[in-house]
Order: sequence, then structure tokens, then C-alpha cells
Amino acid sequence: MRLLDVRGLSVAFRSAGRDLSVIEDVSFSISRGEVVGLVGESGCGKSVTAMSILGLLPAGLARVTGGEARFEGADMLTLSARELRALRGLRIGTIFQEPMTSLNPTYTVGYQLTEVLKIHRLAGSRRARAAAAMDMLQQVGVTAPERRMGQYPHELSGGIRQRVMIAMALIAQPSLVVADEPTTALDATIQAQILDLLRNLNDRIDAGILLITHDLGVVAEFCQRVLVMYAGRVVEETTVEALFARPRHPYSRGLLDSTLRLDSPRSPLPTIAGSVPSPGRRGAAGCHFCGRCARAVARCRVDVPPFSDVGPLHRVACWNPVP
Amino acid sequence: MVALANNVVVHLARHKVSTAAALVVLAMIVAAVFAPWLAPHGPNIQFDNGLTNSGLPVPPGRVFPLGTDLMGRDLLSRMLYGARTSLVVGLAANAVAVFIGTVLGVVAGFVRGIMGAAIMRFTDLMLAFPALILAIALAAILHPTLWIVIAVIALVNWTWVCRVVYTQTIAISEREYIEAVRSLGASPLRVVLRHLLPHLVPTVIVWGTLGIATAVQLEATLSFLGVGVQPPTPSWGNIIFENQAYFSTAPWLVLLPGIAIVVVALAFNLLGDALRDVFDPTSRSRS
Repeated sequence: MRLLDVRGLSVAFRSAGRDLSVIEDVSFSISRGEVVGLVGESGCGKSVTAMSILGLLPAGLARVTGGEARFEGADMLTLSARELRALRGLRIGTIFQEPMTSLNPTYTVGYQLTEVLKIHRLAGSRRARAAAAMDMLQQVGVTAPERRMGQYPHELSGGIRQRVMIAMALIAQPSLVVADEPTTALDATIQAQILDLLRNLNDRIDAGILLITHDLGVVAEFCQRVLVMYAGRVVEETTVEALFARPRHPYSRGLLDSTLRLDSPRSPLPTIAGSVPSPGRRGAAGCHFCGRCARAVARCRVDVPPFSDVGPLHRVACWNPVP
Repeated sequence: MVALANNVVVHLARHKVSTAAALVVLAMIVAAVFAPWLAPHGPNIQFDNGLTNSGLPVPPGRVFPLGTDLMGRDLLSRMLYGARTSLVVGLAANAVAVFIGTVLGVVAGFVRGIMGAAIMRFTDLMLAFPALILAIALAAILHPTLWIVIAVIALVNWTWVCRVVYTQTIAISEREYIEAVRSLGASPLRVVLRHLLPHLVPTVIVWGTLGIATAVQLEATLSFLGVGVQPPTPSWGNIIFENQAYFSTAPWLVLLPGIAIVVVALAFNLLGDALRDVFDPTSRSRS
């Protein structure tokens, strides 16, 4: 059975009295032990997708308008707030982008790590909680865990803080980990260390990981499957190998072409002209990408392209895919 | 917390104006607490020699350092005991106001939606309503005692705290560590008590201190108008009220309590400003 199965997820933001659709008909699934990348430019709806599964959309501003997200059999979108809280932190761990701001500056590392255990009543005594927290710090490669437990976030470097965040996300041994740009705020060497760490830890706890990123290098390094999102829709879903060898959606192609490579000729870096249309300007008809697409045909402006198979484990939503 | 207290002390010592403000506040607290020992006479004793032969209050002199009032009572003693009244009313009324304001502000800022909007519109309504008229009306209906005066002032004073706490709550709940702790499965109650309130402490301390100045003034105003603290219990406001007829013949009876009110209100205001500078270095206007 699949760990997470998202079908037809749609989310709208309420703006000036009307609903603006930001996520349309997003479907994907993750199994245990699998790392799935969710890539796209800023504003594509990557984080909103993750937040809606976690039930953490800003109340009153955003709401799920359709679909389901089955996690271990239960539809996350219909669970009560209490049921969702029981899953968050315990069965689903979340790693955020900014280790600088995602830790509460007024509490020690030890307090914040043991808080997870306290919330979910995982370890009986204060002593057992502290022991579990120190063990977890050790596992994420933090040196001198006894000393770190008593330190405040501002006393730690960015890399250590992100390790602490990972420790908080994994301490309850969740079966699903949502990592929202976990390495974006870190420099390149630390980035590699953190990804290695995540991979090694996951070999042990065998969780499914949803990795949100805009960095294709991270995807190549870390993921098995990729979902490419554009303007609130999934436009391509495939294996990492297939995406890099033969991307079929013009947008995926554009993303790959605009990646910096060490071995590339000294020519200007190609870019995709224009920017992601904001939710109010996407229009209901046609493909959202057609305005920026060199391969657009007449039909692209009229009909939404269906998500169809173009090969084994390879689906794309395009009327005129890259050959 | 120790570091915080240390910061406050260092800051207050470094700025002359803040030092003066802190000393005035300290002096008032000492006067209020030790009034029975400091006062040369009882506050309500009418002295035979407290009035001149023509029945007028005695000017400041050896026996009565600040003179006597219209009934021949010692003004210094009445003012020391009046400091008690002002301090008790100022602190108690403001504590209640800060409590109401913080609770409503946090609820409105954290829950938002219809509930939040309703609370904030009610706060706006209370803010727009002339505070003094409301206070006079309430005090007149409820037959003023010390506790009624405290309640009335609290009822008028909570709105500012509520507004400030509301905006501050919204700002803090947008921070990522709040979302992070929610993603760990923390209940709303835990988020508020453990992760939101501690960050509101500086704001509440600053506005709590500023509010004392307003409360002291409002108490004086109500007492002056006769709907506040009732004679013979002395309060700076009702000393002025009782003696206003003697303004031309015995001006010290009105001027001294008036000056006391102004100085203490000013001191609490400056102290509040100084605390704000300690807690929020970006708002520092002077260095």
C-alpha cells in the first residue's frame, strides 16, 4: 500500500471576496523509503501543496477545494484538527527552509527537541526524553550533544541548526517526512552534508520523503522520482534519470537548460522568458505555460492538456511535448 | 530573565532622564509603603492649631511642613497617604487592564476570523468612546468605592494594551518557529502559552508601565470630579477637589498635589519609554 496518495488536490486562496485557484488537480503518491522531489519556480504552489497535506494552510485565507490526500489510509483533508495534530510530528515530520527562524529563539535546543516527545507522550520521564533527544542529536551528527542541549539557537551555526531541525522532525520516527527546501539557506558544502545525513537517516527509518526544492542539483543528488510543478499544476512526473536524460515538458526542458554546469561552453545561461503568472492571471482555459512556451500550438490556449503516459513511469501534461 | 533585568538596570543607570524617572517612581513607592512612619501626623486628624484665627489653612511651617488644608489637617501627611491611594489604584487598575487587554488581544490575534474581528471592533468602539464620560457615568451609577474606581479605570484603560498585543500577536504568529511547532503537532493552547506569550512579555511590560501613568491621572481626575476616591480617604485628586475654593488664599493646597500628579505621571511615562528602548533597540530615538 502506498504511504501517501494524493488525488486531485485543489486549493484556493481567498482574495478580495473571490476564490483564486492556486493548486489545481495535483496527484502523486509516495511509498515508504522513496524520495520524491517536487520542483518548480517560486510561486508554483510547491509549499502550498505540502502545507495543505499537513493541514497547515493559513485558516481563513486558503482552503482545500477538492481532492483527497490519503496518508496511511486516512484522508488528511477530512481529518479534524485534533486528529491532524496527533499525526503531525509523530507520523509526519516536517523540515523547514530557514533553520535561522524555524527554531524558537527563547528556548534551548534541548527544550525544543524534547517538546516533540512531550506533545506526543512518547517518553515517560524527563530523563528518558533528554536521553532520547541526546541520542537523536548524536544521530544527526551534532558533536557534544550534552552541551548543545543547553544552548540557544543563536549560539549555533546554520548547519547545526538545520541538523537540530532534522532531529526534531525525525525524533518520533515518522513514516513520512516533508522537507520544504531543507538546504536552500545553507552554503554548498553544508548542503551536501545535510543531504547525505538525510539519506543515511532514511536508510534507517525507511520513511517516505517529499522533498520540495527549486534546485535540480539537489533533485539529481537525492531523489528517485520527480514531480515538476508549474503554476499550480503538475506538468511532468517521471524518474530522476528520465527527467535529466529526456525531459518531455517544455517547462522541464527550460528548467534543465537554465541550470549552471561546470562543463558548459562559455555562453550566456539560457533562461525561460517571462515569469510564473500569479493565480489571478492564469485563466481557466488552456495550458498555464503556453504564454512562455516556444512549442505552443493553437490548442494550448484552448484546452487544458491531460496528464498522459509517454513512457514507463513517465507522464506529461502537454499537447506538443519535446520529442 | 536575569540578563533582562540586568539590561534594564544598566540602561536606566546610563540615561540621566531614565534614572530620574526610576528614582521618582521608587520615591513614590517608598512614600506609599512607609506612609504611616514617614507622615508627621495622622491623615485625618483635625488640629486645633491647624487653622488660623480667621479660619484659614495654615501656610507651610515647622509643625505642618506643607501647611494644613481647609479642615486643619496636615497636608504632607495627607499627600503621603494619598500616594498610597494613587499607587494602589494605578497598579491594581492597570494590572486588571493589562490582563483584559492581553487576553482579548491574544485571542483576537491568534484566532482571527469573525471572533477576532468582533473583539477588535469592540475595542475600537471603546477607544472611540470618550473615556472620561464613560468613567464618570459608571462611577456615578455604581457609587464609588476604591474597588469600583479601580474597576472603572481598568475598563477604560484596557483598549490600548489590547490593540498593541493584537498587532504583536499577529506579527509573532507569522514567524516560522510558530509554524514549525504547529508542524510538530502542538495544540493551539501550547502554541499560545509556550511559544507566543513569552514573546509578548516585553510589550506587556512597556505598555503596562505607560498605562500606570494614565491610570494615576484618571484616578486624580475622577477624584477631583467627586466620583473617584471618596473623602476622608486622601487621594491627590480629591485633595485638590476639597481645597479648590482656597486656590487664591492657600495655593499650595492645589499646587502641591497637582505637581505630585504631574511628576509621577511623567515619571511612569519616561520609565515606560526607557523600558521600550531596552526591549526594542530599533525604536531607540536618542542614544
